[in-house]
Amino acid sequence: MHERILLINHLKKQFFVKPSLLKRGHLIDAVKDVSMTVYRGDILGIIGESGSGKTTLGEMILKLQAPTSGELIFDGIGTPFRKDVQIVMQQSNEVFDPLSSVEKILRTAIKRHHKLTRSEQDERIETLLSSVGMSPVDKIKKINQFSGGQLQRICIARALAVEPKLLLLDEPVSALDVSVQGQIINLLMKLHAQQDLTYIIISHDLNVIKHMCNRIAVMKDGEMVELTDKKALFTAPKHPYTKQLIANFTL
Amino acid sequence: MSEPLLALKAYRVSLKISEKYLEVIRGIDLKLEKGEVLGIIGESGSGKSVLLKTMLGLMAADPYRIDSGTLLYEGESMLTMPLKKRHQILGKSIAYIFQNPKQSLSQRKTIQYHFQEQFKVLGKPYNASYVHQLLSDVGIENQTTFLKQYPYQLSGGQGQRVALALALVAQPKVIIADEPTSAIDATLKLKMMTLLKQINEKYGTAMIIVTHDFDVIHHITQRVVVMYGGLVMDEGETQALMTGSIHPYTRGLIACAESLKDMSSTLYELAGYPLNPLDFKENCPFAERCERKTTSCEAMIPIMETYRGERYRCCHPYLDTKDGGTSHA
Repeated sequence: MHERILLINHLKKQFFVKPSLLKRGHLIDAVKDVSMTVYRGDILGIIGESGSGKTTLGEMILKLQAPTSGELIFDGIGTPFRKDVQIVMQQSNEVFDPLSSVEKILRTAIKRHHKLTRSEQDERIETLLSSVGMSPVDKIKKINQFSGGQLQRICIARALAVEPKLLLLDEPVSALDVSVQGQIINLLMKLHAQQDLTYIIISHDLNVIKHMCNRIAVMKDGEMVELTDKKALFTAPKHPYTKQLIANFTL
Repeated sequence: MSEPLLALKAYRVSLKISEKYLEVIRGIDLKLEKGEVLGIIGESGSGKSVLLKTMLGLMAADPYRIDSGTLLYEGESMLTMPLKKRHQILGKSIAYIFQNPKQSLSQRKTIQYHFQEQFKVLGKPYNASYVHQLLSDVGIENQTTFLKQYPYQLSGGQGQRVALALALVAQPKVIIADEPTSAIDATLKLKMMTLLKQINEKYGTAMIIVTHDFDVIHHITQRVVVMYGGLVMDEGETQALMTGSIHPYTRGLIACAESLKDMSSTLYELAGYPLNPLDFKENCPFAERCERKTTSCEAMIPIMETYRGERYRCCHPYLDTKDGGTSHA
């Protein structure tokens, strides 16, 4: 059951900051010594204030940033990394070319890692669209014709096109309207139940984290102050910062 | 009954989009009493930002047209008065706090400079002890060192507080805050809400708070306006509306927000997506997402009706039929 999918070992990231031309630059620790294990089928939440290093950690997991020290071991079986790990970003409207069609975006993603005939690709595009709750008719529409919630669905479809194992969700719903947030969260939970997926969710919204995750990591000033399962975090937080966070939340 | 501080009547605004005017505010009536905290809630495309910006004349860069309506500030028409006079009211009596206040400060000037500038605009000498007092009101310690800092050194929460303190220099009668908590973290949200509430109680400042966050609405507002499709769909006392609104849209929104909080395994879903202004028609804007929709909803924009102090636009509200209210359905 507890099959490991990702091991993070003493991961560190430093950034060089130079505030002005006249001042000497210095190094800041964005992520200080984070270690954690992600198991297959987990929904791991990373919470923390802005500047706590949660996005930097996410970028390192995706190999968009190289760690200063430490290691990341992803347990894929010889497949290309990008086929196994995908991301759904917050501002989905900025991710895509506004003038390309949904079909084109999904086809590019499918062609990248799967050798399929044209008709098989078409079939796959339609399955993907219906799995994220959109009509196959929408595939000819351009990106700029969709609303935020629909774009987020397309973004999820695009990430799932390569059949990844691990999906990193960076603030998946925080840019959406209240009435649409629920739809997207339900969709993500449905996909997790149906497919063999592992989620890492980065969010500052405790409601979302509480609803979706089974394990939660709390970040504070680049350090991971607590990593525990959901129930333990909400009933018996250990670290003072987590205690304060939970106290503010339950109010 | 005294005259309201701000009164907006039959307000209609069109935006110019590729050489055509598109009506985005379709007849809005609003009232803000003295010392009252009014919340405006609405999804994207509901017109809440356009409403505020055109009311205050902050949208000069974007071509727009006010089709009809009056805006009275203490009985004086703001839309027709000379620009100079309007600017005086806007600087001194009505303060606006932007969603991301750090960006509205000059990055090369100290915090103190911003305060000095504010006094200059008001034509008063700089009063250091008053500034210190204001900063401590918004919860900032070590005021002397703080004033020497530059905006880029501030955290999101501090930026928000500075913007609030700057707004308070003029002792405004109205503070208008656009999404005061969306750019800051959950832990700071509570502090900001408490702060706004304290300011309202201490100085009796009336406030209009635009938000999509029900926590904020719940904690600080006395009355709430729900906007959708360029119209006010529902309006009433915050408590009454949160616990038992008769409008399907308000109910749906609250159910969405509530189900995220309790641990229900599947979240409540409001079908469809917020209405895009390009798709505005002469029907009930919420019709296509509404579960109580009938053919009559497509016929016209529902008129404003009143039921137990709640003003609503809906042909099929959840009226309590037991005590005399009749459902049109």
